[in-house]
Amino acid sequence: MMKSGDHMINVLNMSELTKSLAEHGVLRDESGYGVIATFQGAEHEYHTLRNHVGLIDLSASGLYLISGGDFVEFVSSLLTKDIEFLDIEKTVTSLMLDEDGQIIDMVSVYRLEQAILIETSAARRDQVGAWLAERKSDGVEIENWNASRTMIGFEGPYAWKLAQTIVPFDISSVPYQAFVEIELEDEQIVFIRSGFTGEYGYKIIVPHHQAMSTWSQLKEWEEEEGELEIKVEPVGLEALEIAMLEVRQPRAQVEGNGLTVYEAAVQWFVSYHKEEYVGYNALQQQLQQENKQHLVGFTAVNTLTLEIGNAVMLSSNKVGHIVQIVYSPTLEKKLGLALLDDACAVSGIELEGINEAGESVVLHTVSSPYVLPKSWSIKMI
Amino acid sequence: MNTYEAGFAQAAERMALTSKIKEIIVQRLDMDIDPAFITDDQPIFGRGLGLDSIDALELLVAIEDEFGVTIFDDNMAVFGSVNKVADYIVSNTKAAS
Repeated sequence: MMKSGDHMINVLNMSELTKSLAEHGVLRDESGYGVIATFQGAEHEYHTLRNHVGLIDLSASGLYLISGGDFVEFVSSLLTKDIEFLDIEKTVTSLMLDEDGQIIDMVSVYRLEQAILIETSAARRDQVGAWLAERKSDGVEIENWNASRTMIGFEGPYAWKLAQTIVPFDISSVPYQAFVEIELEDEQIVFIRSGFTGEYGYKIIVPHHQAMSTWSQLKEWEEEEGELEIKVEPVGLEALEIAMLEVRQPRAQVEGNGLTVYEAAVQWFVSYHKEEYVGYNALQQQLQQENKQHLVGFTAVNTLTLEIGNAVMLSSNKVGHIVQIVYSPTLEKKLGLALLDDACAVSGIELEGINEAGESVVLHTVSSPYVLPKSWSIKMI
Repeated sequence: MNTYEAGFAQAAERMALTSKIKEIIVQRLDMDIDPAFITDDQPIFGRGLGLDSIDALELLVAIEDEFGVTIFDDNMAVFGSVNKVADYIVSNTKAAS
């Protein structure tokens, strides 16, 4: 990760929107795609997400439109979630597995009338694109929407107020995990109610040429709520990742980074009765194995360093290791995920992390959501 | 710091509680899945288990029946996950004893 400069901007694959934002932030390389890691600092942006409205450049996320006579069967054969009866204008999150049952990505699936749109993570965008192309049958067409469209997100306890300025109907009529096609400045756009942080979350997909003006328009919005002046500020990936972990929203770069579905504890993205998809047999074998491990959240108040890979001990016996660690500004503690032996992979116990220097750090396993989103206590009016 | 045996015993007790909660969810809501397929930290509502506010009321009654612990219907944060339900039962059982 480095401060954005001409070198990074020239090397990384970026949308015009990201290029225009890059000079104001720090870029991160996500498998060759440039994403803004921070604008004003992760902690400041985190507070924007949890208290105001965070504006998120999602243009690096992959968008593949699948159409043709067999589009439902084709997409269904690649997903762990059952989508055969997914209603039009509804979205669902699913795992996409390879034949060995390894997670390729966690994707959002949008059911349009005559097509399905697949949204990937930035880091796995090319991998998913290659997988779709490899498995494609004659009755299916794949269109890369990234060639013509940009996705922008906004989340926060007051994001619904900003969303209301875009849609020509009552915003509360759009249920969670639903989307609509609407007109914005005479262009057809996709408006989605879905997010990452547990706060009210929305995404819009606009034509490339509209992206920068829409970004500016959203950023300029402000409103007073009692004594609070609601702000809209750009938020980078670092703050987003903290807020995602706080509500245990999985990310392919963590839960899909060499972990099995069971280890990552993401079975809830698998339809229990579905059997016909790539990776099904391998997944069943994984689930039947004994002596397994899985991820559990933990907090640590100690100021000593803890890093990914550090051992986790129970009374001098190694029972796992750390796979993610961040600082949670709300908890004012370190918050992380540890891959632990099943026999002690529960919330509510005390363990010990051993850092590189051999120092011991007390860890407490905790229950998700680790932070209650403010949106849970705010009703749309 | 826990001794090895005490730590595992504490973990086993917790697992028994979360397993019982999962069984109650599956039985009371007539769900056609193996309770063990539910993870401790997945959301119970929305895209997690897909339950709604009517299911929540059924669960309030079930938890009171099984554990003697009352969850008030303005405290839906308890249903953030199976683990959160377990935390609530543990803290309210202790408070009552």
